[in-house]
Amino acid sequence: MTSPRRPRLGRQPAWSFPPATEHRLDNGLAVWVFDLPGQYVISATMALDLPLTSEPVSSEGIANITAHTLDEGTLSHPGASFTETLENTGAVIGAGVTQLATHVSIDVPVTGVADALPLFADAIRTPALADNDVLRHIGLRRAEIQQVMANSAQLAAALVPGAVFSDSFRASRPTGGLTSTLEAFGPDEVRAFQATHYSPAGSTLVIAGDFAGVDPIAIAEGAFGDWTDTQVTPHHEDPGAAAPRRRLVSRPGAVQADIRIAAPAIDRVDPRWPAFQVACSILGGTFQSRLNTELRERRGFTYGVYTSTTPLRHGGYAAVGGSFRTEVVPEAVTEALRLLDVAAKPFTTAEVARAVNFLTRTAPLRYATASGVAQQAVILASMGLGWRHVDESTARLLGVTADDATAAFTEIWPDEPAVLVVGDPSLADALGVEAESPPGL
Amino acid sequence: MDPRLITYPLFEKSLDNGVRVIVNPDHNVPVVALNLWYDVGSADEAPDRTGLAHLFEHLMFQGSAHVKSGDHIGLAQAAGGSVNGTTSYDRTNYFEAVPTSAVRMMLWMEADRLGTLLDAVDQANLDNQREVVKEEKRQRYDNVPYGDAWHRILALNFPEGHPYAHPTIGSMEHLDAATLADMRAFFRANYRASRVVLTLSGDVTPAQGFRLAEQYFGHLPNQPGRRRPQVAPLPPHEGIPRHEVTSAVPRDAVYAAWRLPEAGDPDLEALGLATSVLGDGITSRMHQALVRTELAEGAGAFTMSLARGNSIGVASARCWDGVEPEALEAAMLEAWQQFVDEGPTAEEHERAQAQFAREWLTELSALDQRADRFGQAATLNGSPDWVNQRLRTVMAVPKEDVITAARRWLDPDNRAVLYYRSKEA
Repeated sequence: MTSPRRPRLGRQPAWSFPPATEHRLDNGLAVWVFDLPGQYVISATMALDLPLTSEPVSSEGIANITAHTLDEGTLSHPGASFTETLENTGAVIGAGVTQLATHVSIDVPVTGVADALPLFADAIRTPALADNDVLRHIGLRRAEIQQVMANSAQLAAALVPGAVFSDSFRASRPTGGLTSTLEAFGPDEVRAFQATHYSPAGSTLVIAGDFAGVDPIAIAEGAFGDWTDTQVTPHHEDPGAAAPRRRLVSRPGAVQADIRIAAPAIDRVDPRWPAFQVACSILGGTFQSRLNTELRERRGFTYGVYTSTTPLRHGGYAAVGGSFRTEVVPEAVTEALRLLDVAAKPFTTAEVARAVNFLTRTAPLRYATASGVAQQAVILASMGLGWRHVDESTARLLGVTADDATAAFTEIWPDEPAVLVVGDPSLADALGVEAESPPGL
Repeated sequence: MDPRLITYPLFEKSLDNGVRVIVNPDHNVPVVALNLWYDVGSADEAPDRTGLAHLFEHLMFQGSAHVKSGDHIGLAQAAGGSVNGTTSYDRTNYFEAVPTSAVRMMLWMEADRLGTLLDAVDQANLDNQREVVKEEKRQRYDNVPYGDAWHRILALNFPEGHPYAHPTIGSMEHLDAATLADMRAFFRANYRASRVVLTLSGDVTPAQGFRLAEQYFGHLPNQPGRRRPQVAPLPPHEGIPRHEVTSAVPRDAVYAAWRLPEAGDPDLEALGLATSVLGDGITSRMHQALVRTELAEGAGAFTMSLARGNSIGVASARCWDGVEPEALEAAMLEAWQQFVDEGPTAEEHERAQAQFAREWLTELSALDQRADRFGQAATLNGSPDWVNQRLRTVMAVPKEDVITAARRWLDPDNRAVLYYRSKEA
């Protein structure tokens, strides 16, 4: 039998980001509810408007320790009884900090949501933050830093913010703090930090899932309605750039080196954001990007090389990253820098069309689950943007031209980005730098 | 709605050439997840060609008679798809989740490579992907602290030459030795219509799904399938086999492994509940006994289901700064022994079931993961309906069965042990 003919793409299905029902409680807490039929596990996240500039400089990491100790017991359910009671409902709770916000999340089958949400609220509003739990989490964070220092890719990632931002800004340093700053606070300070900075005004509770037979607003009102605002006013910084330099962080005997090439970039509100996203996608956002095609598929230098963008509330950064066997590292750096010279080879209309299709048409899949929708909504809330931004952003992406993408990238990306290599010190000569010992994190 | 009552609609049909087609219509979003489970994995490799199944998976993205190298992923991404493949011990899967507009194109590309891959495979793309896979091995295993732990656990748990004794990524030596003739022979022996389960989950009706499957896969030849080789079950460990490695890791660590029954044995779900009580999350016995007491920086346990003779159960913990692995192992065993003697409390048992329900429903809420589970169920668990039955099965496991299974399979005396000792870098 003969093989069938190659089919064409069908008509692109109509799609838009699932709409939220928005409420604001009397204490200022915003609540966004996404009703998603068929999503039987409810995903809820409290996005606290808590930029890391709120931390005392000497006590960086206190926000991270606070967030990770929340589920170790509350005033009404001390110690392990808290998580036991919570997990009996099928729920799991998690927390994380970014430069912009503290996120506390819960996933729970819809049948358990009425029991679990009040417990979730307890963890955020009245955590015990007991002495031994706080001290243990400080110890665990120290141990985590040791693990990061021993892991090439994680160490490289941890050093990127310091390579792009001036050290007078919080965004230049790890979100979880440094070994030295973990010395500067203890349980009393953690409890005071929570009492001051966990506050409803400016924060957003996102709840997504199938709410047939459940009233999520009533549950949220019951759990958070009488939470008192602390009148704290967060400050969102606009981080300035560091002087770019080339750096080789020594890992003697490593069979691969991690390369990061990074520079300050823009935030989502910048009018060039859609064009910049398209540019980064063409360069390293997909399998057939310029970087991956050359360095993986043609040369076999790496398992994969990708661009990433990290928009903050003000400004942000972009980076190229990958792991390469030691002997090809100098050539990989040279070649990557050449490929990033977009002025020498402007983007084509065909490249832009593919990138725009990738960025816009993958949306239905990315936002097909409760956790996918909730995570995106939380990111936008933490940027001070609304959930409608997803559709607005799609519309703007569809208007990006090849000239827009070329202009945005060449304006934003500097001639001399920071180059960071974590790898064998024998690379020093070829890279034209001195090998340095790993910095103390 | 009681989560135990949730079932996903499921329609199944075999084409004349043996392709098993499963359609799971779900019209909530205009997306279809395609998933192909090939009944071949690293357990099917010759002992001197480890890593071949995975290297071959890479070649499946290097083009076929009518698709250029790299275009399978490239065209899928440009159409709004998420696409990849993975290789495991008992299977290789290829999958793409795409908007409804691209379903035909992806089916055509999947069928093209199953039908005509050998028209495109050549020395140049073998050599290139060999280098890429070696980079993958360095990135994921060789250049990472504890990155070879899983490989050492397999070698400790299964005797040399056993299908699960070697890791899927293979060895550098075997990757270097793989020839074009090896790759061609591997394709001819294993990539057949009779060895694939094609699942479509998402915005497609059963009639559409079956018609499209016939249209794009129906012309492929009907070649004999196979019975998966039977492997005699290994008995539990005796005499506590031990292995120790000194390595550039930040902290000493302890791993323990048990031989469990193969996939399909009713004890396995009970053992999943047992390891959940022992080592899943901060309410678990291990977390309470090891992390809260500052003996360990982290601790956990899990089971992994495998199809040939035995599955595997693992417990692991990383020493708190200054704690010796011997002390950590002793504390771990005490918690483990107490569990084997007394079993879970009623509350622990119900909590483990509630946690399983949430994890399972979360997994099935994503079309791509659901499609993959249907492929697994059809290939390894006898029927795709296993996906719909599993939650009810686990929720119905009585506490007594957990105790019985733990005593039978997880006795501390039947463990094998791996230590990492930290060497100053």
